[in-house]
Amino acid sequence: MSFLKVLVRLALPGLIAFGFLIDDRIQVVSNNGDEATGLETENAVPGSDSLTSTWYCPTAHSRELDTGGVDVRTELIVSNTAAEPTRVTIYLVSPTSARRLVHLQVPGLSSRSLEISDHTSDELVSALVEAPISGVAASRRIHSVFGSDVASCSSVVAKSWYVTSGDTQADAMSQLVVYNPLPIDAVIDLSFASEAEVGSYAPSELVGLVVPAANTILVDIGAHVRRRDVVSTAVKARLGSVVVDHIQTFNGSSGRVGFSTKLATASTSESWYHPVALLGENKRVSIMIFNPTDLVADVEVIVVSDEGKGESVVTSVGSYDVTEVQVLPKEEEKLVANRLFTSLESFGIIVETSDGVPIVSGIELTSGPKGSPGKESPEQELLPISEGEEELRLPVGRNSGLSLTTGAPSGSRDWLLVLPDVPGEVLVAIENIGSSKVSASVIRYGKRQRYEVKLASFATEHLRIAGGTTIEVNSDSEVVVSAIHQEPKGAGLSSISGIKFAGGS
Amino acid sequence: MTFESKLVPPVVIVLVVEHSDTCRDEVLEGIAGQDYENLQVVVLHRGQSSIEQQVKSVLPGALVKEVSASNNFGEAANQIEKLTHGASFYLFLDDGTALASDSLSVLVDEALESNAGILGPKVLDWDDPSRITSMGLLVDAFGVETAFVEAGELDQQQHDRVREAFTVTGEAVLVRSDLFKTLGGFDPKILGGEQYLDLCWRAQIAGGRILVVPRATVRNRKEFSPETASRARRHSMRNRQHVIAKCYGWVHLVPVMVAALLLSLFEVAYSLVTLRFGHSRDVLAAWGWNLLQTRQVVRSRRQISRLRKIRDRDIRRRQATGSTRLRNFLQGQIGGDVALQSLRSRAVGQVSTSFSAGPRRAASLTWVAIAAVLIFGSRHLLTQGVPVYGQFSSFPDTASLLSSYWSGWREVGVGVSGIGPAALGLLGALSWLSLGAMDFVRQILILSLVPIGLLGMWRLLKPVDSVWGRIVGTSLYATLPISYEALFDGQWGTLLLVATVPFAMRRVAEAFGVEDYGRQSSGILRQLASLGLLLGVVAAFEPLLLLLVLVGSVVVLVVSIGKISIRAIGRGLVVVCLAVAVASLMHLPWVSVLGDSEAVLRYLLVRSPSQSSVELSDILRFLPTSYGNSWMMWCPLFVALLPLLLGRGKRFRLAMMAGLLAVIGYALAWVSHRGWLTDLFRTEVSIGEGALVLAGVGLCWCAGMGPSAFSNDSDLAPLFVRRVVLVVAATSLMLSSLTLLVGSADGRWRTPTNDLTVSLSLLDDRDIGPSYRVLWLGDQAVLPLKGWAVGDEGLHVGTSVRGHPDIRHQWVGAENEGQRQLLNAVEIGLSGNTTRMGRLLAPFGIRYVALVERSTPSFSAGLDRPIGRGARQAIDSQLDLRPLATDPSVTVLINESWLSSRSQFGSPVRVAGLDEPGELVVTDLSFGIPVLSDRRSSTEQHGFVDAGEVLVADTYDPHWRLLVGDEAVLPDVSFGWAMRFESPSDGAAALWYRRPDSIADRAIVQIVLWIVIARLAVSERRKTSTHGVPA
Repeated sequence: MSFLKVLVRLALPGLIAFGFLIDDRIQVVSNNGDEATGLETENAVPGSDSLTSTWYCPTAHSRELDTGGVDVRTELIVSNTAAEPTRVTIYLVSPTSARRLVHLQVPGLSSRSLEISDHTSDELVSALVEAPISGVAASRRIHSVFGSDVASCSSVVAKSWYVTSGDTQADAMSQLVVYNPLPIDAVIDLSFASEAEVGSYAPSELVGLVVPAANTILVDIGAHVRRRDVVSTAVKARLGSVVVDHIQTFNGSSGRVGFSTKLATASTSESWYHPVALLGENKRVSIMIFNPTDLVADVEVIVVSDEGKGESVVTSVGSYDVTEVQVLPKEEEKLVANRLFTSLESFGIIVETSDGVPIVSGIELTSGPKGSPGKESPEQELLPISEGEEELRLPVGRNSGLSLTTGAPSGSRDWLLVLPDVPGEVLVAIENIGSSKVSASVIRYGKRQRYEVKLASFATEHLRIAGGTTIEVNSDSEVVVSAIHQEPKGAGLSSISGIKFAGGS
Repeated sequence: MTFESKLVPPVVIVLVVEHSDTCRDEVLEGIAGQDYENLQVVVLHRGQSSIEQQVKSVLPGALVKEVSASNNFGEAANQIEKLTHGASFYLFLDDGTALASDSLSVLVDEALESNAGILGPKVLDWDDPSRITSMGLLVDAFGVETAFVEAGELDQQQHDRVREAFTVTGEAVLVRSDLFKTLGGFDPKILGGEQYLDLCWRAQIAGGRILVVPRATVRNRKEFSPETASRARRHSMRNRQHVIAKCYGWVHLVPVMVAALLLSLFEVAYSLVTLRFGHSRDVLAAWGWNLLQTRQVVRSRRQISRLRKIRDRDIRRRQATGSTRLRNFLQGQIGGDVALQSLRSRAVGQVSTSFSAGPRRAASLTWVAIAAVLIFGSRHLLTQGVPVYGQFSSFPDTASLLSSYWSGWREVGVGVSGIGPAALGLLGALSWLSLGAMDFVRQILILSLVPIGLLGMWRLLKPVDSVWGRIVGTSLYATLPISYEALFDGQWGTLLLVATVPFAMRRVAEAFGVEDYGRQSSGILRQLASLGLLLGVVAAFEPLLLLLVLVGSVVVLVVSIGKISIRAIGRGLVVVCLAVAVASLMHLPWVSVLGDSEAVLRYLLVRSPSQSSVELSDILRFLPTSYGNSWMMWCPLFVALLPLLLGRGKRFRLAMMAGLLAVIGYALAWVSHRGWLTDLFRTEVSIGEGALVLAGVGLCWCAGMGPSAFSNDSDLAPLFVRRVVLVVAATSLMLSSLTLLVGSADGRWRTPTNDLTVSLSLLDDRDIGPSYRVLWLGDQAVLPLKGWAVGDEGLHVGTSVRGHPDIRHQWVGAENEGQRQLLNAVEIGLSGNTTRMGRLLAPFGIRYVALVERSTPSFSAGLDRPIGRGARQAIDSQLDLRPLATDPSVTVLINESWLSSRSQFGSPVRVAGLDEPGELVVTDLSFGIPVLSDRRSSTEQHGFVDAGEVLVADTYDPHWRLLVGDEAVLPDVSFGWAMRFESPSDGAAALWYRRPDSIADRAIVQIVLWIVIARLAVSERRKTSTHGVPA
C-alpha cells in the first residue's frame, strides 16, 4: 500500500482529529446574555432612548406613631434636564389610604419642588414619580426635628439592597422603609451583620416578609438587633422587587444628634468612591465596609486629596460581616487596627478590594457632640427626652448633623447634582477615579456660569457653590461627584449624591 | 362499415387484441363459425406488428384496425363507434375467448326478448369446457365483485337460467349500441376488468338491464403471472374507488367513501402486520391516484347525473349487503389476498421464509429487533400521545388549517395577509382525509418519522453488495442520537430531515449514476419529478432539505469526478438543480409572501440551535444531552472507519463519498455553531442540527460499506489488522445498540411527560369573551410558536390569539408595519426604557405576556432556556404587567393596561396621534369596551357595536369589512398600522375578511402545479414500473 493511499484513507479520520485538536484552542466568544448585560442597579437619569422617567421614593412622608415611625417632612425635588417642559405625575402611595395623584409642571433645565405634606398626612407615604419624557430626576430633602438630609429617589427596583451602617443604641433609631411599587406582592428576607458578631443574623420574623403590591412597610431594625453601634443590613427579595430607604436618628440623649435618610444601595462592587469627607473639630468620618459574600475580602481604604492618593490602611472583612474604619486626624495617630490617620480636613476616600470580592462601602459623617451610650457627652450637651406632646427643640446656634451614605461603585462622564435650596454654600466634590488626568466642567442650570476643573490622577477637587440650584458635571473621563452641606449653626449635615446620566459611562 | 338489410338486427363483433402479435385461431374460428346472419367483425389490434393477414385468412370480411396508440382496452374499444354505422349491438370479445357457434344468436335473442342493455354468456374453461369459469357478478357498495359461481365449478346445468347480474366479466359482452352511445362508451381512465363494472353500473343508472345468459357459452383462457396479478390488484383497487366516486349521488357517496376509507386504513394496518408492504402501498396509492383524478371524476359525475333514470337506492338494492371484501377476509375466501386464515400460511410462511435463509433471515431479524425496540421505546408516546412542546404544536380543525392557507389572512403577529404556507394546505388535506382525527395524524406525523428514516437508510444501502452492510448501516442509523434528541427538543424539522435525507441522497446518487446506483437509474424525467416532489413536500415543512441536497450533490460530484462520465455528471447536475428549482417553484407563492431576499434566507437558513454553545467533540457525537451516554456516542465513528481503512475499489470510493458527506456535515454543524457562517455570509446562518443529519446519513452510509469491504477486500491489510478493525467496529456497533436499548427503557425516549397547555389554561378563553392576544417571549427553542428576534439577548417574540398557539403559528410571514411596531414596543420594554410596557402593548390587544424559560412544565423533562437577567429585570420593573401564579417554567403577566383587540371607547379618545410610543406610554387605553366578541373564525367575528369608532388591532388591510345593519364600512388606519371603522349606527355587526382574488388565483395555480408534479412523478414511476425497471 503506497503512502499516498494511506494518506487518502486517513484523510477523513485525520480531518476529524485535526478539527478536534484545534477546537480546544479556539475559545467561543460567549453570547451569554447574563454576562453581556449588566443589571441596572445604580440610579441614572434616563437617557434620550427612554420614553419615560420613573423614580421611586420610599420615604415621601412619615409621622411618628406610638408604635414607631419617625416624624419627617419631605420636599420632593424634580429636576428636568431636558429642554422642553414636562408635566410630572406623582403617585402618593400609603398603606392606609388610597393612591393619590399629584401633578407638577417642571420647565426645561430647571427644578421644581413639592411639599408632600401639603397633599397627605398619612403615617407612611411613598411616592412614584413618573414623567412622560426622558431626562427627569427626582430627589428629596427630608426634614426632621433632629436635622435634615438630602436623598435621591431610586430609578431602579431591585431584588437586593444593602445598608452599610445603622446604629441601634439607646439614643438611636434605625429604620428601613421598604417600598414595593410593582403590581405584585414582594416577599423579602432581611439579614443583619454587626460589629459585635461574626456572620449574619436573620430574625425569623423578618424572613419571608410580605410587602404588598404598590405598598410600603416600615421595619425597625432596633427591634430585632438591639444595642449595636454598627449594623449592616441586606434585604433580599425572593419574589418581586423593592426599593429601600434607611432612616437613622440620634436623639441627643447621649450627646450626639442627627438625622439621616438615604436610599440603600442595590450594588456591590470591588471599588467604592466617596468624593467628600470633612474632618476636624466636631467633624468625624468613619468608613463602613460590608461584605455580603461567602468570601473574606481584603480591603484597602485610601485617602485622596487634590494631589492624588494619600494615606491608606488595609483591613479584612469577614464573610457577611461589617467592619468600621475610622478616619482620624494625624495628631491622634497611634498603632491601632482599622484606623486611618490624615492631616487633611477635606478629602475623598477610595475603598478597594484587592482580591476581587465585591463589597458595599458607606461613609458616616457626623458633626456636633460625639457622645454615645456609655461615652456620653458633657451634661450640657445632652438633650432631654421629649415626653408626650412636648415638642423637642434643639439648641440654637449649635452645629450638629449626621450623614450616612453609600459611595458610588463606578464613575461616569456625566453627572447631575441637585442642590436643594439651603442656606450657605454647598461643598461640591469631584473625584477622578482613573490614573489619567481629567478635565471636568461644571454647569449650573439657569445660570451662565461654567467652572472648569482639572483633576490629577485619583485626585479629588472641592468647589463651593450656593444651594438652590441644579448642576451638571461633564468630564472627559470617568469621575464621581457628590456634595455636602452643613446647616450653618444649626442641625443638619446633608450628603448629596450625584446622579449619573444613563449612558454616560 | 355498413350493414345489409336482413331480418335480424345487425351486430358487430369487436375483437380487441391486446399487445399480442398473433391471434388464436380458435378465437377467429369461433367468430367465423357463428350461425348469426347479420354480422360484421371488427378487429382492433393494439400490438406492434400487423395481424391483418392472419385475420383475413379466417375472416375475409373482417375489418382490421391498428390502434396501437390507444392506451388501454377501453380507449381502443371506444373507436368502434367511429368505424361502424347502423349496428344494433356490439359484441365485445376478449382475445382469449372462443365463441360457441350459437352464442351470438342466443345473446341477441335474449336481448330482444328481455329488452336488456348488456348481456354476458356462461364462460367455460378453455381446456375443460365442463367447468364454469364465470357467469356474471354481483357487487357490494364498494364495487367489490362476487362471482355467482365458483371458478372451476363443474357445469351440471345447475345455473342454466337467465339471471340478472350487476356486472358481467369481460370475456364476451353484448351491448346495445344505442346504450353504448348514450353512456359514452368505456371510461378510458380505467385499466383492467373494471371497465365492465363501470359500464354496467352506468347502464343501470341509465335504466339498462344486465343479464347473464347461460345458454350462450364461450370458452376463455387467461394467462396469469405474479406481475400481472399484482398489477391487476393495484388497478382494481383504484378503479373501484374511481367507479364509486363517479356513480353514486352525493347522498350515498359520502357514507360509502367514509366506510371505504376506514376499510382501507384497516387493510393497510393489516398488510403491514403481515409484512405485505406492497399491498398497503397499493391501497394508499389507490387513494392518491383518485385524488389526482378529482377533476375527471367531477366531469364524469356531471355526465352521469344527466343520464340518471334510476335512483341510487334502487341501485343499492341490486348490490350485495355489507363489504364483500371484509366478509371474504373473515371467511378466509378473499382469493389469496389478505385472508385472516391465510395469515398462518402466507404471512407466517413469508416470515418463516425470511427467517430460514441466511442474509435474509438476518435482515428480517434486524428489522424485527429494530421495530420491537422502537415500539418498546415509544410505548408511552404511542399510548399517551406526544405532549405539545417546541415544534410539536397541536393541530387545529380542518377548516382552520385550510382557511390559514386559503383565506389570505393569518393570525400571526398582529395579522398577516397573503397566501399561507403550503404546509398548512397539506395538513388541511390530511385532516380532511382523516375525517378530522388530527391528534392521530399528529402522532403519525411525529412518531413515524424515525422508522421512515430507517427505511430510507435501508433503501439508500440497497445497491451495497452485502445485506449485512444494509443491516449495519440501518442499525447504526437507528442508534444515532439525532432522532431522539430531536424528539426531546421538539424539533419536528430535524425529524423530517432524519426521515427524508436518506431518500434524497439515494435519488442524488441515482441521478449521478454513482457506482451501483447507476444500475437503478431510470428516466431523467422520472428522477427529476420524484426528487422534485420529495423536496417540494418536505420543504413545505423544512426547507433546509433543499440546501442539504445541494451540499450532498456537490460531495457526490466531487468524489465521482473521473469515475463517471461527463454526461452522467451533467445529467446529475441537471436533475438535482431542476429538482431544487421545481421544489422552489412549488412554494413560490409562499416565498413571495415572505418578502425580501433576506427574509427568505432567514427562513431557509436560520434554525434555533438546541444547544447554545458546543464544541467539536459534542458535534462529533451528535450533541447528546438526554439520549445515551456521552462516551458511547463516540462509537458510531469507529463503525464508519472500517471501510475507510480496509475497503478497495468501488467500495472504498463509496465509503469515501459517504465519509466526505459526513465530514462536510460535521464541518457545517461546527462552523454554524461557532457563528462563522454568520460572519462569512454577513447574515444569520444557523443550520447546526440539520447539517448533523447529513453527517449522520454519511456516517451510516459509510458504515454500510464495512461488511462488504471486510469480506471482499482481504488483500489490503494483514489478517491481524483486519481482525482488530473488525472487532473495534463490531464492538462499537454493539455498544451503540446497547445505548439504544437503554434509551428505550423509559418508553418515551426521555421526552417530556407533560406540556404547558394545562399549566397555562388560564390564558385560554378561546372563542368566549373579548378578543385578545397573548405575547410569547423567550428563546426560540422553547417557544411554542415561531417568533421574531427581538433585543440582543437571543429572545424571540410571537403572538397568539385567545390562548395557546397551534401549528399555524409555526410559520411567520413577512414583517409588516404592525409587526415592526410590536417588536419596537417589546424592544423598548426589554431595554428598560419604560416602566409602562403594558401601555405600549395595549393597542395590539395584548392581554397576557408569557415569558417562556422552559419548553415544558417544571416537573417534566424539557429544554431550559432562561431569559437573560437584563430582560428579566426590565420585565420585572414594569408597573402595569402583573405576574400571575403559574408554573415556574413560564411567567405569565397580565397587562393591566390592556385593550381588547376589537374595542370601542365610551368617551372620545384621541387615537390619531397614538402611533408614537412616546404618546402611547402616557395614554391609558384600558377603559376601552370590548366589542365583536362572538368569534366565528379568524376572518369573521360578530357582535354589537355602538355608533362611532371601532378599533381593530389587526394590521391594516383594505379587504376587511365591518357590516353594521346593511352598510359595509371600509377600514381606516389607526395607530399607524391597525384598523379603525367608523360605525354609522349601533346594532348587530359583523367583521369579516374578504379574500382578495389574487390569493385565490395563487392558491389555484399552486394546487394545480402540485397536482401536475405529483402526477408526473406518479405516472413516470408507473411507466418505469410497467417497463420492468425496478423502482
